[in-house]
Amino acid sequence: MAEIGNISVFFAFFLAFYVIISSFLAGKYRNEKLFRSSENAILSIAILLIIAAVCLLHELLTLNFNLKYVALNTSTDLPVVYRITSLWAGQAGSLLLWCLLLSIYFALTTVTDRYKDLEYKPYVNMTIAVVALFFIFLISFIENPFDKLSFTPQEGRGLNPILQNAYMAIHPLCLYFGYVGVTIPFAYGMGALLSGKTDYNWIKQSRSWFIIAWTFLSVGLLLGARWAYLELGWGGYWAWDPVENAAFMPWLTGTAFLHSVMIQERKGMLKKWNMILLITTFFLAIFGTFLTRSGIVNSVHSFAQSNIGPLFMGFISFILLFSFGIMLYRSKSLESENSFDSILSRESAFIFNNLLFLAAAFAVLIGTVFPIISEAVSGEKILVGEPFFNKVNVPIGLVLILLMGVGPLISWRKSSWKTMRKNFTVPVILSVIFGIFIVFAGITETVAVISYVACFFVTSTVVIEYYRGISVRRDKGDNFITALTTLISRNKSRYGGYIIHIGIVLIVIGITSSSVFSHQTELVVNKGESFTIGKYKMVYTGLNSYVTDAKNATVADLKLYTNDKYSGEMKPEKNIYKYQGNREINQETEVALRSTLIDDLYVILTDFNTDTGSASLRVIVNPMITWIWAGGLVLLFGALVIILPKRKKNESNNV
Amino acid sequence: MDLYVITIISIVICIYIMTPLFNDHNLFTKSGENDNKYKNMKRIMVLNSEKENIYSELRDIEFDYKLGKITRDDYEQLTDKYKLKAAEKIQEIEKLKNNQ
Repeated sequence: MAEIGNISVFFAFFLAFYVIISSFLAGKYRNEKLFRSSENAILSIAILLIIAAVCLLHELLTLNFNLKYVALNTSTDLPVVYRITSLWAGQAGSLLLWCLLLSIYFALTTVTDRYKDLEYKPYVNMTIAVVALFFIFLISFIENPFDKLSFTPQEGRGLNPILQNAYMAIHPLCLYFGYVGVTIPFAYGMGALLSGKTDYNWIKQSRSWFIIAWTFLSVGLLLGARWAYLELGWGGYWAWDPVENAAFMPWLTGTAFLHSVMIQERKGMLKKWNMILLITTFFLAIFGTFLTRSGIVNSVHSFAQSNIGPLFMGFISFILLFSFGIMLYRSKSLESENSFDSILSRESAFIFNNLLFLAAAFAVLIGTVFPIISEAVSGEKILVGEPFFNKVNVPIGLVLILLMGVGPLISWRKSSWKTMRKNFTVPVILSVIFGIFIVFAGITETVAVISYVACFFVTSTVVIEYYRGISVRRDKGDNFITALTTLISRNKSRYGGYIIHIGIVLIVIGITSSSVFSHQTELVVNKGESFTIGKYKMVYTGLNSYVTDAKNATVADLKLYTNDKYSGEMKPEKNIYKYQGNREINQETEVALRSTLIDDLYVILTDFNTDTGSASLRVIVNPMITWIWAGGLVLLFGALVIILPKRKKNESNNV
Repeated sequence: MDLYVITIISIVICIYIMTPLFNDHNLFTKSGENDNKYKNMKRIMVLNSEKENIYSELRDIEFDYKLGKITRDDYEQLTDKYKLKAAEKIQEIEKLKNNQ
């Protein structure tokens, strides 16, 4: 099977070359035969990479340790589900996954757009094929997952214990779908520039694919945060780790794009700006992939040191030079078709929002690469930590939240002071009252008050928007449910976007509460002793241990009382894994977690003494952290509302 | 066995990729007398897209007016402006159709 996989990868490499050449010739000479042949090659690449992935999966599942990748990432005691997820645990396997997902996206653009946009589609295909060629080159010649060892070991090195978690099954997949998916809208942009067809159609296609990639990036980021919260055992979920930042930056610029693209669709403006955002987002996605793999940053996510760093730098340089070069060449065709109708308009608010997103992305980029730059310049690595990122991004974030509330209240094209006074009065008054209320309730931390008031403001504007929209429909005779569903289905971008905003609000409330009001304690307890944190009291009843094929586990048994009522047991663990895994750690903590909508009780067994039976614990109470995960679900729902296709147009086009 | 499987897959894929090269069908124009007709057709498609966009804008303007986000005066001014744009697009489309 390994041989089939290996040859499939090499064949896909040559087909990627063929797609580039045939697409270019098809576009230049408008030759449909070559175009169709190149599209068949695109579908064939997807088939070959699926075959390669299936072959590698087979080798992982059957534990063929003669393959280097299998020997490094699995072991005989590894459960079947983690043998599957080990497909993306290592460098070579995750690069294969990258190629596979890109080929699937590539095939989908071919199947869904088969008879449209034939003017510039060959150049779109050519662009995607160039990206595919680079990554398939990496897995063919540099990090081949089918490389064999000169001998067959009896046992594999095993999978890193922190990767043996359900969230690891989907976090990388989601994130990769996001990273990889950004290639498609970028390719549509390049297709428009290369063909000179910079009219309306390319931006529509770009946006449709972009929202899919953005959704995956958003969910991937949240799943990663959840995994970090559960597995890394420090009580947090975001550490401004370089690789976290690498996924966050394209999310920031991508969110800016999703807003400004609406202006281009409506008014034919900001064409250059959107093209810059598209190129920048794609660059950041590839840069993020580079950061994870090159070994130049220390991160819990980093793969082992590798020699693909220089190759990535070369590819990134080529992408930037070519993209901006072709954009300059076609700059005349990217001039605005219209001008702003008024400074008091949603367009202006969106431009302000864009500038803030870009400022945040730039700050994160500087903070992430600063250690690398400082080491290159002075020989000394100067680390940039949380204080910098929080100091810059918290104020930007708060203003963005406020803008989320302002945008819906002002109209496209033109608003007047009179209508703005009318639309802002109720939500502003309610928000001020809410602010006074929470201060009197005892919340005095400035950041928390501003954050909660801003979130309330956004929520009230969304509720008002829905209420007004439903009222307009009900005036036409619809009942409430029909009015609501028709309102959403006829204005999916607007009302789906509002649902996403509510999701963001929930996430921000969760982040604010858990950041500002979290409290923790560290202590050593002996058997029979109890301790209190907030409303929780825990009684330590002693240490326990158990053994599995994979690990020796030590458990601290704690009885939990909430407001003096017995509410169950907490069992934090410290495990020693029998096999080393990919990194030089063989120990791992399993936190004990009790989650409610009000707070999370998070207990970590940091150390223990089997002679005295004592346990060292770190106990954290994180308020409202569940709201972050709930917000993610709401965000996903809102994105699905936007992504799912409209009903057929056999109904009236009236509102 | 692996070699046989991959050989068969490769042959099938090569046939699949080469087949369109031997078809007569061509949606693209060839150079010469049909160039202008093709350019007109493409221009009409672009204008239709832009016209649909303007209609969408008009629906949005009406919706924003019903939601109370714009005044009556602004509503009428914007509606007139976009209706004029739509009329220009329709005129150009008709002109191109008559030229074909």
